[in-house]
Parts: sequence; C-alpha cells; structure tokens
Amino acid sequence: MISAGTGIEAASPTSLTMRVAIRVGMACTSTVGSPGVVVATFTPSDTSIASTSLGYNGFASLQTSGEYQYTDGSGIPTVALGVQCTAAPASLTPVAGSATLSMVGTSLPLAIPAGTPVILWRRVRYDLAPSVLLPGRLALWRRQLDAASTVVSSEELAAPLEASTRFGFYTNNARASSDTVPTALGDLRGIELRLVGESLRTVRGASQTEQSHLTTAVFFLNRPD
Amino acid sequence: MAMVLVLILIVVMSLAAIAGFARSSSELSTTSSMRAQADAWSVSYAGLERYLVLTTTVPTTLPNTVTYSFANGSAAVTLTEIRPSASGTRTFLLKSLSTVTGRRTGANVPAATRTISQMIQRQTGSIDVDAAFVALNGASKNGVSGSVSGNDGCATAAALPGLAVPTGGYAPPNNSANANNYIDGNPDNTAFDLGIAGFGSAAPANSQVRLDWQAVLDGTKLAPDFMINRTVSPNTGAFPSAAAYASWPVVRVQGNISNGDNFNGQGILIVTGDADVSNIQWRGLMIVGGAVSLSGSATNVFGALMSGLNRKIVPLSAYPYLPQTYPTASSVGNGSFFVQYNSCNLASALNRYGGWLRMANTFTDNWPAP
Repeated sequence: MISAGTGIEAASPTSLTMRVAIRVGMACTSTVGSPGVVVATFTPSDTSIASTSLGYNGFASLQTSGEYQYTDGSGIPTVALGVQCTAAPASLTPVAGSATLSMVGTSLPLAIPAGTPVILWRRVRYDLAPSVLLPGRLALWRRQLDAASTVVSSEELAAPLEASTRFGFYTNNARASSDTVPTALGDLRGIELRLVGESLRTVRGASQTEQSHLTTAVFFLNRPD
Repeated sequence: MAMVLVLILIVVMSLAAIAGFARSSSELSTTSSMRAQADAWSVSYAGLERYLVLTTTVPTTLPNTVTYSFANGSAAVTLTEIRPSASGTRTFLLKSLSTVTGRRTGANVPAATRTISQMIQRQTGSIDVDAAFVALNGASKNGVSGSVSGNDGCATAAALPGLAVPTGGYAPPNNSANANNYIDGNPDNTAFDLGIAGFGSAAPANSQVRLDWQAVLDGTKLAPDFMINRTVSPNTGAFPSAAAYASWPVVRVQGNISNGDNFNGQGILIVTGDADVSNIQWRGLMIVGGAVSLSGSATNVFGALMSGLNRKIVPLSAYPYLPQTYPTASSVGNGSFFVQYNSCNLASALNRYGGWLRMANTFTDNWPAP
C-alpha cells in the first residue's frame, strides 16, 4: 500500500519508484534532533511482506493535510518497551499482536505528537528492463532501493514481455488512464499495467511469437481526497 | 509379443490420461484459490463498509464485533478503541476479517481469509447552546415556581446558565430576595446577559446564538423528518408515533403548537411560530421562532430550549408563513415546569449529524492470517 499524494517518487512509462508502507501504527513518543527518535506501536502485519529485513528505508508521520512526512531511517527499527505507548501522555491501547518499535531517523526537526499515525516504508522500483532469465527479452522487475536509490536487490517478476508493455497513469478523478506521466506526481491516483506477454518461442510457420494482452489497474485506497 | 506391446501401450496411455487429469485438477485448484483470494478481499472490504454505514453511534462496550454475511462469505468486523478521548481525539481501529469457503475444491482445502483495517474517529454534531433556555425575545416570569437549570442533567458537561436573555430582556417575578431562585446553573439565581437586543443576525444578542435560523427555515439545515404545517387549511402532516421517536427525529411545526397538543417526544423540535409547551415533554433540542409559554408540572424540556429566533430574520415578510410581527417576551409561568440542560439528550438529538471519519492514509491490508 502506498500514499496517493506522496507515495510515488518517480514515474515513467517503464518505471515506477515508490515508497511502500509496510506497517501502520501510532506514535507514542518522539525525540527531536539529528538523529531523532520515534517510538510507535504498530498493528500486526504479515511478516512475509512487512518484515524490515526485507527492506526498510524509514518512517513517516501523517500530517494534518492527510499526507505523510517521510524521514529516512538510520538502521533497522528495534523493539521498545510497550509502556512508552500505554502510559501517559500517549495513553494508547494497542490491539492484540501489536509491536512497539523504536525508529531512529537521520533528522527529526519537529516532534511527532502522540497518537499521530505513523508508517514504516521501503523504497521499491518496478521497471521494465531486459530479462536475465530470457536474454534478449523484456521483463517486469521489482527492485529494492536504498536511501541513495541504489539497487540493493532485484527480482524478475514476469517475462517475456513484448516491447509495447507500459505503465499507464490515472490522475485525480479521471476515468481514463493516460500515457503521459502527470506533471505533479501527487495527482496520481492509480496505475494501469498494460502487460503484453509473449510465448517463449515462435511457432513453426508463424512470423512472430504468440501474444497475450493483459490490462489491469491498481487504484490507491489511501488517498487524501 | 504383440500382446505385450499392446499392454505397454495401454499402460502408457493410462499414465498419460492420469497426468492430464492431474494437471487439469491442479489448474482448477489454482484458479479457484485465486478467485477465493479475490473474494476474501472484497468480502472483507464490504464488511468494513457495512459496519461504517450501519453503526451510527459508538457502541457502549468495546471491542465491538459484528459479523456480516454476504453471498460468497462472511466478515467479522471489530471496532477497538486505541486512543481514549482523555488523551486526545478518540481514535478507533476498525478491522474486518473475512472468511470465504465457497471456492474450496475439497474438504481439506482451507478457507480463504483476509484482514484489512482502517483507523477512524467519530465526529459528533454540535450546537452552540448558551443556556438551558435562551430567549432572544426576552422572558417574563410569573411566580417563583418551576425551574430553569443549566446544570447538566446527565452530569457530564460543565454547567451553563439556566436562562439567557438580551440586555434588559428579563422581567423577574417580583422584588423578593428569592425571586430568581428558580434559575439554576452558572451563574446561579440570575439570568445571563446575551448583549444588546436587536433584529437581524448581526445584532449583538442575536449573534451570540450561532444557530443559522434562516437556513433552518429554508430547510437547508436541520431538514425535517416530520413536517406539520399549521399555516395552511386544512393542516397537513402529523406528529410522529411513539415508536418513531426512537430515532430522535427532526420534527418541524410550521405555525404554532398550543396547549392541547400534549405529546412526549425526543429529537429536534422546530416551531416556526409560537410554542405553548404546556403538557409537553421533550428530550433534545427545541427551537422556536416565536414566543414560548412554560406552565404546569407536566411541562419539561430536557436538553436545550431557544425562543425568539425570528428576531434574526429581516424582513419577516421574506417568510410569509411566519408571524409578521416580532415575538414579545416568552412567558415563564406558574407551576413546577422544568427546563434543564442535558448534554446527553442533545448529543443523541445531534448524533445524526455526526459520522465516522476515516483517517486519511491509514488503510492497511497486510495483516497476517489468523
């Protein structure tokens, strides 16, 4: 899941870089500074998706505008004492299975009030690039990036794809997708995936590979409007 | 030799057929599982939405779990308070766990489940109440019996004035030392001064009462569930049945109510003309454009009462159904009538103007399988 207004960092017809929220919780305490520290309680989450060992770039706190303010993390979150959330001033009642974590941010200029929704996020890039499994063909990739947007790990999700495979873009409340990346990425409200799959080989007597068109879309539920 | 070859051929063909069936069965299972996953997500989301629509007040006991059935599964939706109001805005986590069994291809195949959640807050309707009885048209007391009390009848909110009137708009019953003892609240034994009287919404006293009376008359605010029109002949509409009051409706009387109407109700009562509240018991909000008469022990308002609101309208001719002269002082008369501020009844009456607020960007769908 991503935030509609600020989740997408970069986009092109063949590449999407986004901040993916992996856990949602509430702030309990915070310490301003460089680095700064935030303690928060997070709702239960599927470790196959949300484990920070699979990628973690930082945390973010919800602003009154309905958008998140992102902070680059320094190190992996560590387990903190639950009393920091249950005692005043936060006085939260975490749901069963929640985890209390302490996050260190490279810089936290403003305190995060107790009770403010907080997320952990990782930076991920989906792109259409040459396949490794099928040399000479195109593939859909998912890449984990670090704070400097350097690729940490890559996973080839689908191949082979035909060269016309593209991402489309839904802007604000427009019903139709567009080929053009919106000028303001904060206006993005959905992504269309136009996947053109190919057969591995060309059938004898045919002039080209068999193709299968799949068009689907992902609309952002976490939108401020 | 030929027989052996035939047997081998039969075995090979049988194995090929078995492999084909196995592959087909496997693909069916895979497809069914994918459909079950999609169903589980949609059922879970439908459950969450249904809870937000059908649950119109914060349940008394939390966590509160309600299970909804859909055509292809069920959703158990649980509301949990994660932050009490004492430490900030009261915040809840709404979680929906769906179970879809209809897509299973065998008894040993587990049901598809999906859990989603959303942080929410409860927005409440509110109204500017300056006193238990606000009389923009002033008040004239007859005798020392009865009571107007700004002390909260459900003891949760700070005390308000019992009576509020424009400057010089109050005529006490007599000159005795205890003449105003029937007024309770904060301040006690005295009427609260709203400011200088006048006409139109900008007049000092009128601006203190921030109810948009013109919008109420226009029907753009506090739109009525029941409309009784007594300015036409024959009159139209009827008061709600006793059962209909359970939902704290908005009842609008276009014209006057008079001694003899004798009803007990709750909700929001709008009277565009004068209101003789004798033998009427009302819980919630009663707002009157004209003057109010309070008299008799069976006369009770538990919530808040406002009168003289037509003084906010200039000119009166814009609303031909209103009395075309401004109301004189309300008559606060004999008998042990009781007008008391009650924040709980007001909250119940205004609950329909509240609702669940989904906190932006706090939806999540990566909960672990239960």
